[in-house]
Parts: sequence; C-alpha cells; structure tokens
Amino acid sequence: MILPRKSKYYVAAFALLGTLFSLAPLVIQWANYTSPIYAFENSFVVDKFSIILKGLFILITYLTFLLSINFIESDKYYQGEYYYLLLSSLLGALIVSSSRDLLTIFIGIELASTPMFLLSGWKKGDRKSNEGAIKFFLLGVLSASLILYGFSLLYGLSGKLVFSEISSHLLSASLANSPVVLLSAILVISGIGFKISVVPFHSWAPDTYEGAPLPVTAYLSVSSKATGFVALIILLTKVFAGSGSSWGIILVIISGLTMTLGNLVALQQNNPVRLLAYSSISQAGFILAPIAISGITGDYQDGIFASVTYLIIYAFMNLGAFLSVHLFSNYAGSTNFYEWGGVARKSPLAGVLTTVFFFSLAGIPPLGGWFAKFVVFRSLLGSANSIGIALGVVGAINAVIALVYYARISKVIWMDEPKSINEEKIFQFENPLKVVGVFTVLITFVSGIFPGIFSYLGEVSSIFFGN
Amino acid sequence: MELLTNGVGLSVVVFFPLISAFIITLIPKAQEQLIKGFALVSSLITFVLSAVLLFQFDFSSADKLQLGNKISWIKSINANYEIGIDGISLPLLVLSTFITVLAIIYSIEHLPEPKSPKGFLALILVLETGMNGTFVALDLILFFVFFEIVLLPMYFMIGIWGDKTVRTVSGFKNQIETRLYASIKFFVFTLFGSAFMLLGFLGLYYRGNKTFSIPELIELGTSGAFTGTFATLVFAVLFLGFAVKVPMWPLHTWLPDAHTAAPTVGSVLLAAILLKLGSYGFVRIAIPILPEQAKAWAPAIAILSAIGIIYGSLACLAQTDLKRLIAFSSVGHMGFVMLGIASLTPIGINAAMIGMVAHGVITGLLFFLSGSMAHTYHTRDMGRLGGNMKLLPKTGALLGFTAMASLGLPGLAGFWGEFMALLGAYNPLDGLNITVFRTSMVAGAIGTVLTAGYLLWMLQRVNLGEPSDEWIDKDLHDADIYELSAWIPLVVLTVLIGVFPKLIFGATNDAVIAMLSKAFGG
Amino acid sequence: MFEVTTDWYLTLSAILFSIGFFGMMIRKNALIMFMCIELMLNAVNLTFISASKHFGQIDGQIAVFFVLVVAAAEVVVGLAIIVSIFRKQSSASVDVLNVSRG
Repeated sequence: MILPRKSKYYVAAFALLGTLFSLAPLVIQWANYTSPIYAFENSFVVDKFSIILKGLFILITYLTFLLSINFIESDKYYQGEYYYLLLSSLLGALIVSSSRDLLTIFIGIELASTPMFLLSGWKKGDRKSNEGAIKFFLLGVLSASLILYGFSLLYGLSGKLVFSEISSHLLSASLANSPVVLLSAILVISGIGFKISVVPFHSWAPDTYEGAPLPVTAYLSVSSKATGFVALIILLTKVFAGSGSSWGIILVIISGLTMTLGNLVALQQNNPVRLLAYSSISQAGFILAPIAISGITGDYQDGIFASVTYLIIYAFMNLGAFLSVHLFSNYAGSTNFYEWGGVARKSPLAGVLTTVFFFSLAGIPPLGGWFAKFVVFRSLLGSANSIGIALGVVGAINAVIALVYYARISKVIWMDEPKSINEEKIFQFENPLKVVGVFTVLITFVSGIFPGIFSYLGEVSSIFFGN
Repeated sequence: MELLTNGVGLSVVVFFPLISAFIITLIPKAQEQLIKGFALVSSLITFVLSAVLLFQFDFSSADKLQLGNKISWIKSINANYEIGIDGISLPLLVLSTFITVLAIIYSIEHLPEPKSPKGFLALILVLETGMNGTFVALDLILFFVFFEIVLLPMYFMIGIWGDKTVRTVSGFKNQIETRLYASIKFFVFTLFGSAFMLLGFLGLYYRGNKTFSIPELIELGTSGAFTGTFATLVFAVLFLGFAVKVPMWPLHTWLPDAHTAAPTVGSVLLAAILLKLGSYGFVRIAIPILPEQAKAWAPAIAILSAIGIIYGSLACLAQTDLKRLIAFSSVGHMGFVMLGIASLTPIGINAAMIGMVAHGVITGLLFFLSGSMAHTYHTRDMGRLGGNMKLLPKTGALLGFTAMASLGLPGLAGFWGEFMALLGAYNPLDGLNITVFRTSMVAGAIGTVLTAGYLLWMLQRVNLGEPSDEWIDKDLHDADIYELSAWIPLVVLTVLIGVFPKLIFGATNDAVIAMLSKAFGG
Repeated sequence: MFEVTTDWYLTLSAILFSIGFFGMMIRKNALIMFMCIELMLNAVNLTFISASKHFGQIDGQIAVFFVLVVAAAEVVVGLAIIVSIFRKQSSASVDVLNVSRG
C-alpha cells in the first residue's frame, strides 16, 4: 500500500515470493517432526494435520495470486489492498489449522472470512458484486454469532476454553449428550455450515461466487471452504467427540441433502460460475460424508483420512476448473456457457485442461477426482453401518447425476458448432495462468494415477492429529 | 527374456499406447503424415509385443496367471498394481491389440469428419490402454480404473466424430444431434453401472480381509467367505456394472444409439473390445469370487440372455438402418455369450470365450464394411441400398462372407460360440434348473434361425438385386488398399478360428476348467 | 426478594440472542439486520461474562474483549459494503438487491 502506483507490479511479486518462502518453515517442521508441539498453554499445536493443511492453504493462495495478477491489473482495482486482504485471510486459515482453544479458532475463522467479505465486493461498480458481498457479509456475520453463542454455551458449561479441558470436563461430568452441549454442537455446525456452504446454509454461495472477481471466487470455493472444514473437523473431534452419535445423524442428513440438491440445481445452470458454485456445494456434501459417518461409528481417524484426502484433491481440480471458466468466458465474452460452442478448437490446450478438470470433478478415472470419491465411498462402506451404506448409495447416484452437467461443458466446447468463434480474436492465455493450469493439471493426473502420495498425506494427517 | 516374464512386458503392452498418445499430442498439427505413421507404428509395436508374449506364455499351464507382477500402488488402502494373464485373458488381450492396429490402418485414409488425425488417433491409443489394462488387471481397483478409462475416449470419439444427423429424442425439448445424445447416454449408462460396481468392490474389500487382489478374493470366495444377503447384494451390483457393459437386455438401450452414432472405427472398437469388458468381468470376477451367488443368479441370467437373443433378432428385422441392424445383432450375439456363461459349465464358458473373440472379429468387420458403405453411399438406409455386389464387388463379397460368418455358418468363427453355448445350456451345471436352461436353449435355437433370417434378408436387400437408379452414374469407390489391409486379416482370422477352434480353446480350456472346478468343486 | 443468579443472566442472554436471530430472519433492511447481529454478539458477551463470574475466572472476560474487537472489525467491513451499495442506489433494503436469481 505504501508503494507508489508504478511499482504495484512489485506488490504481486513480493506477495508471491513471500507465500512461497512461508512454505520453507513447514518443510523444516515436517522434516524434524517427532510429536505434536504445543504452545500458548495448549491453545496452539503443530502436528502433521496442521502442517499438511497449512501447506495446502499456502499453495492455494499462491495459485490464487497467480490467477489474480492479470485479472487485477486489467481493471483499476486497488492492488496493494487486494494482496494484503488475501494474505490476511491466509493467516486466518493457518491459525485455524493449529488452533486448540475456542478463542484461537474463532479468531482464525473470522480472520479468514472477514477479508473475503471485502474481496467479494471488490467490483464496486457492479450491482451483482454488491449484492453478493452484502449477502455474504450478513450471513457470514450471522454464522459467526451462531458459532460464538455455541462457544459461550460450552464455556458456560465447563468454564474452560481449551479443547482438551472442555472435552475431558464434558466426559467426566457425563454431559456429552446433555441438551446444552447438543444445542451448542448444532449452533457450531450451522455456523460453520455457512462457511462450507452446505444445504440449507448455501443460499449465499451462488450469488457471491457470481459477483466476486473470479480469482476471489476460486479462493472462496477452495480455501474458505477448506478452512471451514478444518475448523469443523477440529471442533467435532476435539470438543464434541463424546456426542458423535447425535451430530453424526444431523451431518448425514445434511450431507445427503447437500449432494443431491447441489447436483439437481447445478443441472439447470447456464452460467459456468453458478454451475461451479452448485457443484462445489455438492462436493461439500461428499467431503462432509466421511466426517458424518465417523461421528456415528466413532472411527474419527478414518473420517479425517477420507475428508482430508478429498479436500486436497478437490482444491486443485476446482481451482483448475475456475481457471478454465475464466479463460473461456474471457474469450467468448459471455457468461452463458451454451454460447461457447466449439471454442476449444481455438485453444486446444485450454480445452484439454477444461476437460481434465471437469471430468476430474465428475470422478472419472484416471483423473484425481475418482480417488477422492473412492476414499469417501470406502469410509462410508467401511462403517459397516446401514446409514453409511445408504449414504454411499446416495453418493453413487449423485456421482452419476453430476456427470451430466460436468460433461456438458466439455460437450459445448468440443462438440457444438463453432458459432461465436472469431478468427481475428486472440485467445488470451497469459503465462501466470499457464503456470496455474499446468500445475493443477499435473496434480490432478498424479493424484489419479498415483493416489498413494495423496492418501499418504491424508493418512498421516489423521494419525498425527494432536490433541 | 526375464523382462518379458516379470510383468514389464505386460505393462509395456498396457502403457505404451498411452505414452504414444501423449507423444502424438506433442507433434504439431500440420504434420499429419508423421502423426499417422507414428500412431500406426506404436500400435504395431504393441501388437508385436503382445504376440511375443503369446510365445512366452506357457500354454501347458494356461490355468495359472503368468507373466505378471505385483507392486504396491496405493499403500493406505492396500491396492496393488497386480497384473498377469491366463488362458482366459490372453486371447482377449491379443484381440484388443490386433483390432487396434486394424482400426488405425483404416483411419489413415478414412478419417471421419471433422478430420483431425491428431485427436482421433490419440484417443484410439488411450482407449487401447484402457482395454489392455482391463484384461491384465488382477486388482479390483486397478480393474476399475482401466474399466473406466475407456469411457472418456469413447465419449469424445462418438461426440466429436459421430453422426451429425439431427433427430427428435423423447425427453429433449429441441431436436438433438444423434452424436450428442448417444455419447452422453453411453457415458451415463456405463457410469451408472460402474458406480455401483465400485460399491460392490468395496464390500468385498471389507469382508475379504481388506484386500482388492482378485486371486486372493477368489481363494476367499471359494472357501465360503462371502455369504448371505451381503453376497447377494454384492453380486447384484457387480451384475449391474457388467451387464450394462455387455449389454444385457434390458440394459442394452445405449448400444444401438452409440453404435449408430459412432464413427466407423469407434463402432468397431466398441463392438470388438468394449463389450467384452463386461462379459470378461463376469468370468474373471463375479463368478469365481461369488460362485454360490452366481449359481443362484444363473437362471435369471440365462432368461435375460434368451430374451436378449430373441429381442435382438426381432429388433434387427425391424431396422432400416444398416448400422443399427448390426448393433442390434450385437445384442443377440452377446446374448449367446451370456447364455454360455450362465450355464456355468466348461463347455458353456469356453463357448462364451470363443464367442467373444468371434463376435469381436466378425462384428468388427461388419461395422468396418457398413461404415465404409455408409461413407461411399452417404446413406445407411437399406431401402435405398441394393445391388451392392454390382456397384462395389469387393465390399459386397466381404459383406456376404461376414454375414455368413455372423449367422453361425459351420466352418467359420461364429459357429462355435453359438453352437456350444446352446450345448452348454442344454446341460448346465448340476443343481441348476434344467427347465429354465432348456427353455433358454430352445429360445436360443429359435434365435439362430432368426439371426440367419435377418442377415440373409439384409444381404438380399443390400447386396443383391439391381442397383437403384440414383447410384448409376455416381462415381462410387470400392474398397481401397487401406480398407482391404484392415479387413483381410479379419477374414483370415474368421476362417482360422472356424477351422481350428483350438486356437482359442487351447488357451482358454484349462483356465476355464480350473476356474470352474475351484468355484464349484469337481 | 429474588436473588439474581447466573441463570437469570443466561436466560436473558438466550432471549436477547433469539430476538436478534429472529430479527435477522424477518427484517429486510441491511442496517437493522446489522443491529440484530450486534444484539446477538452482545448476548454472547453476556453469556461469557456471567459464566466467567460464576466460575470466578477471568478467561471469559478476556473472550469478551476478543469478541468486541472482532465485532468492531466486522462493523467496519459491513458499513463499508453498505455505504458502497447506498451510494449507488440510495436504499439499504436488501429487497432492492435482486439482480441475480436466488
């Protein structure tokens, strides 16, 4: 912000470098890891779970910066603030993944989401952007107060703020299934439900996604969602572990509804961003499913394994999908993807990338998405529980429904008659975007063909999940 | 030769086409000759390598899995890269590499619109990886991945290079191009089956000591580890996954659309190899792992197969579209294959194996011929065709020959599959309901008559008679060198298998007997 | 006379929270919705303080300060968004905002 306008270019470079360098301490922590390290009177922890997710958050932010460079330069936006706000949000996400007390996690969640309220309204002249921002803001603050009220009830019951003390207090006083704890769990789930946009707390997502600048949307649908999931996983397994059977059922219902409703509405969209918004709602249902079942069975390790693996793979393919939407809507100058007929012929590279990302989201081998879906099904069926199996069947049906709309974009860009192709017009595919495209496509392929690497990350994060 | 026997050879057969496809995408678009040459050479290399494996294969122990290997793949879920072939998969693997070569030879001069050899040939090679991989995979997850890999290339092949005729489809507001409708229908149907199949695999995994290895699961299954409702459900979902692919009546409806819409080469590969993935799945996975359930389901499968045979033949009689007729004939022929499998006897399953290969060769050739004719005449309407023998003598002669092979003329490949399947159904495994099977056999026998009927009727309408006036002055090209070099090998193979069925039985028989005796004891 | 116990405070805060919540649900003016949220946050604060008093600890009161700071930050962000909308259409009702289909 203090740099003169001319040197705004350096802001981007500096932000990119800074993000990249912040990976270094993570690598060192990983290499020297022996056991969870606790700090600030047990309210902050460094375990493998947090290291892996921090790595994920930092990489996502890095890719978002790359996506943003041209986007932000193309309009007269405030660049310095843009990067500053994204970095603040990243800091919040990093805090969440390590937090082990009510205050730290709350500060983390808020730090991660407050900058996003501003960023989603970044296109100040655009009514859609305004509308998206105000919806997002009001619901976001509402969700914060729901979470907080849940926290205050927990504090009122136990007089403790640190998770380990709260849960041991709840256990020793056998309060785990008392109505107040359940109310608090419901409040927390609904509060975080807004952040991860699951049904019925999803209504803001399509509008906000549509209004926000595209890189911000990508970040919202990937990083903000992941932050919410991380907070949910930590809270449910570290605080509400004792009342799993109650919240498990609630989450199972939410998860089934989310998958189905997200898919059914996505089928009717013609705006690619709204389509991705509903698709990411539906994907959230899949990510939620293993956690929900682990609540019923009590096998949290398996649930965390599946959810974290899904989150990691989903993050990259979804970023890629937003990249392709950005490329084609830029070229075709239309936000109705039915008007993109045959555009892939203009840039086969972008066409192939799009195909890869969308079919990966649909879960077609050998692309990464299949393994993400697979671990979810695995954890659902592994529960050997009729509810889990039923949810697995719902998931399988949804995977087929989802194929229809994911395939539709590939159909339009490859198979439809090229009407809107203008020979003169150059297909813009800037270098930073190419880096994002190639990087995410590589991850999508590697996670599909050698899923071992990613499931290893999921596995260690679930095993070395400190208290 | 160490390299060939420890799994590297098989892996190269599987992945070499994929690598070639990748290299093709790097060649500039303008270098069409280079692209075509490269695709042809790489498919030939794959075929030669699979032929070399044929010689490495120890036929005296064809019942054992050979030339394979097992390495850790996804450690945390205990899925391994486990491959190997036995007498059951060997013929299908070689058939797959062989047909791919022919498909590429044909494509050199006969690319469908919009011509874009780069994409088209790359897709064929990716498809080959999926097909070969399915036949060598011995791990359920590996099998699943390869089973699904074939979907994307086929989807794009139908969708981009397919039939552009606009037609009305119920359920769609506007008229829709055949290719667009057929491609997504194919994709959704198959995915629907395989999504549930995956759930079934997971069920086996949890009940079977957390292993995905097919040989280990067979050991467990034959020692009675899977029983009760659980096993019934698992068999039901596996059935769904494989039966869609075969396709069995009433899950066949995607097939005529896909075949009619697909470009010639796409139809050939679809008929020759892709359909076999389903029936192969029954023989390799569903029956050996769940023998008791297979026995319980066998009568139902037999009845569905019989219905499929009759239905396919009757539907053929109602067609005016040449390609659609052949597509429905596939439903009938695959019905014989499934009838053979349902009998659960060595003779029946051997019949299914030879039936699969024969159907691959014969129907593949039929689709080649009909595709070429459609290209020459610009129509597939049998009402307008006629006098083909006079207009295109070479193509016409081949069509006549292939139709004879397809209707099961003794001495040609098609005969063995149908005849032995009926024999198998006459005398099914002990304990199976004889009445059901004999009824199915009678239905099958009626089916052979109907098959002969519609094929001769087709020949009469297309090949014989006087050409209609609209073709008289047209400059029609008979088969050229590329077409002939793609077709002649298939003709030769049809005769060879017809005269020496031992070519196939020599490989399959021991493996089938071993599989059945393990599953049903004795 | 009654003795005002912790329960009373907790009940009061629950009532305040509910008022805020239902206000949020039924009112359409962005500013009023905003005030409802403030009401909910203050209900939270009241719970924290009374519990803190009850347990004789200071943790809860520290929490209140955090909540206050976060709430203040959110007010800033929220007002910024509302002002930027108000400049364009001179109304703070969310009903005006119906460009996109829900």
